[in-house]
Amino acid sequence: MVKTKQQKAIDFLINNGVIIVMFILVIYTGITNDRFLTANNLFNILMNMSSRLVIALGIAGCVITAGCDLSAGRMIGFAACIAGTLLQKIDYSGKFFEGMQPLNIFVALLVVLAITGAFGAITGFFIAFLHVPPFIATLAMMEIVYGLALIYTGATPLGGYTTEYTNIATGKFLGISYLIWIAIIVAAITWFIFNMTRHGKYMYAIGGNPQAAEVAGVPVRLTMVLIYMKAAMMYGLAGFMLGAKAGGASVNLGLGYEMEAIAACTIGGVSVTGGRGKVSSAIIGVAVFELLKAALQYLGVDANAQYIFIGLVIFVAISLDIRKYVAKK
Amino acid sequence: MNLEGIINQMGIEILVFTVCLYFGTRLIITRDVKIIKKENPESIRHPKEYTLYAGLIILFMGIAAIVMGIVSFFNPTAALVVIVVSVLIMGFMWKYIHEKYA
Repeated sequence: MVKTKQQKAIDFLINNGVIIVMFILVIYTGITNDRFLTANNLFNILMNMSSRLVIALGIAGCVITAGCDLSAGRMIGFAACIAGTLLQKIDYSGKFFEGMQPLNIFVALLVVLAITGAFGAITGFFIAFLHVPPFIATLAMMEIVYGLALIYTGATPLGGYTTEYTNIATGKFLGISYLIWIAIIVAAITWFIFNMTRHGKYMYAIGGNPQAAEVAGVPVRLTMVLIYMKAAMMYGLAGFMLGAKAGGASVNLGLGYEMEAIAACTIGGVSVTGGRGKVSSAIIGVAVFELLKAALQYLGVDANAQYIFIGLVIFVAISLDIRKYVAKK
Repeated sequence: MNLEGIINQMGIEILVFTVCLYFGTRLIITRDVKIIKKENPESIRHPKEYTLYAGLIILFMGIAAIVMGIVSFFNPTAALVVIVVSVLIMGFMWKYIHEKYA
């Protein structure tokens, strides 16, 4: 059936309704508040976006295969704690490993990525080889990682980081924070993986129809393990970035970030029903989400009431996504 | 420790238990395979049995989370062992029901 221009316009408005409403809100906030649309504030929003984008890009891979990853938040907290314990100043009074020289930040990052990657691979193994639904497998992994993080740190908050580590958040290159550069590089690598590699093609094929993909010769199981491992490594990187930004960490760092990341992906256009989604979708989703949070803050909305707004946005975005899926069917 | 303290320490475990209880009982009562397999639900050969055992496994996971929370009051390492063993059991039980009914 050929759609008329009017129908196409209505579809466009419905499908992008959340983004349009949020841009109107941002413009309104910019007009009513002089401090909102300033370079300083926009850089702050970009800084906040950087770690969220890394998480969203990790989760996007899982969502494209019609999965999800509820362990992201706990993985971020655990990663930040591992990095924190390895990068404390030698003379810090509350040092976790007394007398241990702080590691080189790249070595510490590799350790963090290896550990989180291993947990991601285990999650992927459960999903791909034991056929546990992603929702349950990642929920279980969330519990395990949380327990491990509690035992590892003894539930003690960490601090006293070396300046090399905190420089990741404070340092700049070409006037732009290192955190933003990291997010740009991760986005570029993810774009390359999604669009230019066989792994990326397999990912979309599995999301579209896993049975058909398997029949077509796609190594479904191995691809699934790689997707969850890659995602977990991204959470590790995000935890590393957040630890540097906060100058400290606890096991509760990153709590609830997985929900925001899934919501951001959905707002941007990564379908929760699988098979659809791009890197630009995650970027748009995260940008819209962070702009919304900043705009609500500038409009003086009560901090607790902001959760209601964010919840409503998630609700509407996912409902619209399901609507698109039903219409397509 | 008072009730508030217990809820604070066991918050995540209670949340996991509630989610598992919801999905587990829903699966057992409705026997609707679409709850856990949205894409290609027809690929499950014996949906009634599959949903029954899947629901029971999810309930098992929820109970394991609560047990972990209780054990963590006495020994955090033992609590970790409880959840790791439970997840392993869950994984292999899932593989078993998948091979038998899917």
